Amino acid sequence: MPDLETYSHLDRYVLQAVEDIQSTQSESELDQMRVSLLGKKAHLTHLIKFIRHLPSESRPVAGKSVANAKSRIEQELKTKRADLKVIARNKRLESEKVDVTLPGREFAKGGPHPLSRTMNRMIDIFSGLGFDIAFGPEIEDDYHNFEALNIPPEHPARAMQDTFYFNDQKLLRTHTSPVQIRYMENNAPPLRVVAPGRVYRCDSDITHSPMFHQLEGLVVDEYTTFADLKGVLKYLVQEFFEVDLKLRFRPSYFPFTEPSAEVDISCVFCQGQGCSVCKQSGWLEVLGCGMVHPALYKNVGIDGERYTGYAFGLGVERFTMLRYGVNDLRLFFRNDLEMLRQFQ
Amino acid sequence: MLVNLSWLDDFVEHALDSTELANRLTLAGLEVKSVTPVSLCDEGVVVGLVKNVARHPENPNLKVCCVDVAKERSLQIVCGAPNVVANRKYPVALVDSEINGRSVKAIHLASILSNGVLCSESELGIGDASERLMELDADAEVGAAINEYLKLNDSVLDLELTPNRADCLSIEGIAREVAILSNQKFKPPLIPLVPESIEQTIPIQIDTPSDCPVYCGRLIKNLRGDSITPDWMTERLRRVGLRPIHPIVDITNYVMMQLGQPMHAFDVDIFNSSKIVVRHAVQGEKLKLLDETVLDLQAGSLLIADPDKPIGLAGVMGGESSGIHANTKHVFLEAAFFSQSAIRKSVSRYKLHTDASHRFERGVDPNQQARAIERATKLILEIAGGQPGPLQEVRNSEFVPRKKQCKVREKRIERVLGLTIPQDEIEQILQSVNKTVEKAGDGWNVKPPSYRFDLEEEYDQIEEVSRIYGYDKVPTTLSFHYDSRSRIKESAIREASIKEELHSLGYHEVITYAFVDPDLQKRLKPGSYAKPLANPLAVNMSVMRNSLFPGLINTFLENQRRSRDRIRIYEIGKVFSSDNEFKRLGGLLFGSHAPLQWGVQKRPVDFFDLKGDVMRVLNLTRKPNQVKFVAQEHEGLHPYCSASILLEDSPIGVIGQIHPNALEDFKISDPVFVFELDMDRLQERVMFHYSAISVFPSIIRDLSILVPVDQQISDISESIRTSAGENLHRLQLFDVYFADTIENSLKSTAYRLTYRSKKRTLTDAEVDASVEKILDNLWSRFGARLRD
Repeated sequence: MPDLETYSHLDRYVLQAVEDIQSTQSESELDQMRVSLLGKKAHLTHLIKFIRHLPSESRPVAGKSVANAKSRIEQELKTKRADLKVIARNKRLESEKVDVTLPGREFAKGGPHPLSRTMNRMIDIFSGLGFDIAFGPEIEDDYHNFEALNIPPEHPARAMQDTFYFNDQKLLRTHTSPVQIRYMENNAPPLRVVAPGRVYRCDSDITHSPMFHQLEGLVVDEYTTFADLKGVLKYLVQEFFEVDLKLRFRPSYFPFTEPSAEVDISCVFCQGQGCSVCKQSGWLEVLGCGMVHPALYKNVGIDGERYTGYAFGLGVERFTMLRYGVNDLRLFFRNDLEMLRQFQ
Repeated sequence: MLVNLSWLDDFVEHALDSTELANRLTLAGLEVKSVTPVSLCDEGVVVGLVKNVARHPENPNLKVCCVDVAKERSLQIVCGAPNVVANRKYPVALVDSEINGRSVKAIHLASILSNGVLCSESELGIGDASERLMELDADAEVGAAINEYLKLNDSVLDLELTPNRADCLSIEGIAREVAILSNQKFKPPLIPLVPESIEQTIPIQIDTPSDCPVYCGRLIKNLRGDSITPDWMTERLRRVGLRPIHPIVDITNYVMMQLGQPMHAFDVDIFNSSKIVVRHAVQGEKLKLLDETVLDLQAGSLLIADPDKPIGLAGVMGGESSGIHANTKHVFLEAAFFSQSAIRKSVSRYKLHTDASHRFERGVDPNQQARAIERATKLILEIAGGQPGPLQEVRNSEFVPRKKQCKVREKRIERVLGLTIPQDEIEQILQSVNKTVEKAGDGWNVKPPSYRFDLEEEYDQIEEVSRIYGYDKVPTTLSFHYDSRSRIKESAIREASIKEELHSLGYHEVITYAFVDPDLQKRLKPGSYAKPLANPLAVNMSVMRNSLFPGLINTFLENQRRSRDRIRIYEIGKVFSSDNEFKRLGGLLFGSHAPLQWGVQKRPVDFFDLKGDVMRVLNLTRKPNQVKFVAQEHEGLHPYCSASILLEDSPIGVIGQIHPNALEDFKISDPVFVFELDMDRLQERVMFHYSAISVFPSIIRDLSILVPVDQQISDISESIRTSAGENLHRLQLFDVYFADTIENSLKSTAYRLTYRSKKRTLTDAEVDASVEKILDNLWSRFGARLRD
């Protein structure tokens, strides 16, 4: 039987309860603790029920004391519960720790062939200048590859280009210049177009591949001059190499342009000082160009008095080698993934 | 073409050093590839006379010579050359002189002191012969510096001439150009007429005047038998790249180099010299050339013949039956003008290329044949003696190319070049190039000289003006006279996008040859046609590819050999049929599906990896529901793992595993997957169009359906889609398994159906009705049913 004395000494009981609460490690332990401290069979519950058996004058004091103890314990349980929640969450977070230095899951990326990269860059450069893009067949006829370009049969210029033939009339195009003719046949001036693509010559050694790439350009308009040609090529070269390079135009000969020029750029490796790549000359020959020969206008039915125009052709492999320091032409067609990966 | 500067100096006085001259020529379109000094020795190399030759006491391969080098000195020199003989003259490098970059010292050779070096051509830097001493003429002045005596203070320019500049294929031609570029006078040498000393001629008969408009000849009799080519001529020829052969041949070569006129000399004693005939060959005739090759002549080839037989292929090479020999006594000289087309025909028919044909093909001045004969005659008389007959000339003027007058307009020059050149400068340039220039209205009437085959029309003259005035003086402008046009439609699928898609999937672009190995191609596509090249470089590059697979397989094998075990590559390029070409995209997939790494289960790629990648590309068209894969056998592909790909019901490509048989020889055991798509069908995508997003909730049903094991899944999905009604928003196949099927005759599939309407909230009842209908159809059409 509890007596009034018991009610007045609840402090010790509460202190013990607080200690017990503090020692719990988990919310479930805390739940058990709650039952044992405040449940039906708990000491305090028992005391509360017993109050009505106390003398009436003692009841308020005892009631207050018990209520006070209960509220302190409840408060303690609440605080402890919150603490345990924080600890549990922290524990879970800790258990979810990752080693951020482990590599991420990856599926390796591929990339364009370096020659495509060059052609794409050039197309971008010319697109910015409003050039159209054109293509032509790779199996060409003699007319478009030679005759229409002012290279009649047995012309010595044919010997300069070792041609792959299928028969008398059909051949693998030796340059992208036939696209000039096809474009002029199908479009009326003003014309502004570039034509990238594969070309073929019967020649294979360290510096020649039987298949390679050219990019051809053609502009025909009423007042297009040699000075404009110089301007557009300077723009191309400077945009492509992203350096202020010097250009040198040397008179040359192509049957389909007149005047014709070969273009040297100051060596990109030695800035024109002379090195092994430019054979100490300070210059690198990179392309051929000229004013469209009037014979071509005649062949495609354009008025060569009213219109003037220029054309140019460049080797994509050459530009790519100079740009990225690739030192062997044959690497381009070996397609070693280790080389290709360097251009992804 | 090689040109030495000292020879050039005979015809033009210019004040340019060799570097500056080379630069001017290069910038005028006569590209100088190199400038090489002729001599590698200094003033200490002199003419020496070997007075006597004694055996070396110790070494039988050496000789001890006493050499007179004037200056009252005789030197003891040890020498191992086989051709050292007493009383002959040779170059001697004195002690402290320099040859070939090294200094000469007095040294003991097998205990005998040698006070200098007797020199070979290679040691002087003027020839290749290094075993034998260079022999000098008997009249060479003993003690004279070799550089002086052989005129070795000279440089050789290596010119790369373009085919239009035939006029520069001679020393005089280059000199003419140098004169123009340096503003000096060209001094063509006076060539005196040689009076005849005998009456005799050989009649010349020209049957084909259009192919041979001009033919000059001269008989020279009774040549001295002991003549030799003088050092000065040998040297000049050597410097321009010609080897001495025989005095008469050397002289004709010399004249060709000087004037650009190819010449030929016949030994008149060894053929029927009663007549020279220029005619076309008759089919079946044979001709043995100087280099001993025998030609089966084709009808129409231009020949030089005697009354019985051909004795030379005109303008290309002489015949063996009439060639000059060591003891030739009487010669007939030929200098002709053959038409360019006649010589080009011979060159391309017989694949012969000679110094003569090179010039005739490009064009020889039709007005210098007599001059060449006179020049050669004079040299022959000086060097080999003999009695000249009269100069013979047959000329059919109507076939001689004539230069016509042409008008050059000042304004046109400006319009083409974008540069205003002062009138007097234009006129000066035109005058330097042309034979006649007259002021006429808004320009000039000009007439080019006969040796300029490249000058016909106004634009040819404009080129001359710009070339000589200087391309570097043309301004650099960037101006377009019309607005930029953008022609790429938004709906176009750019090739770059296709490539980017593949790159992001790990594929590398490759570029392979368009001509492939017919065997490999056959293996990959047995019954297919492969267009053959008439002149392939090699058998394994002899036919055009009819698919991209051979190049991809080759690249795969090449990389596999280098143990790259995860390979994803693609190529975009043309493939060829008998009469057409098609642009294709081809790809190859091999090895592990992911790079080796932690946290990703390693597994080999399978058909569905590639199918997924191909779908990524095809989805660029934005027509995913229009793509079908139809099981179909393809040659070269695995019969049970290959398909045709259809876009909007017409074939766009193939996909599959390479047939293991095709790879048998390469020891590849893991599967290789490939695909090929027609690029022309990948050009346009469905344009973007916004459709309103539904605000109503969706209802989801998962159906687990048992399907006969051989039933193609696409039919099941299609059936669900068509029987579901308009409210089926999305259909997802999320599982397929074979494990617990009844007697292995069924497979289990799991579909998620998402129903949604744009107009209202759907009821469970109507979705149930739809599912009911789907299941009825599946049962009746395929015997497929809901799993219990």
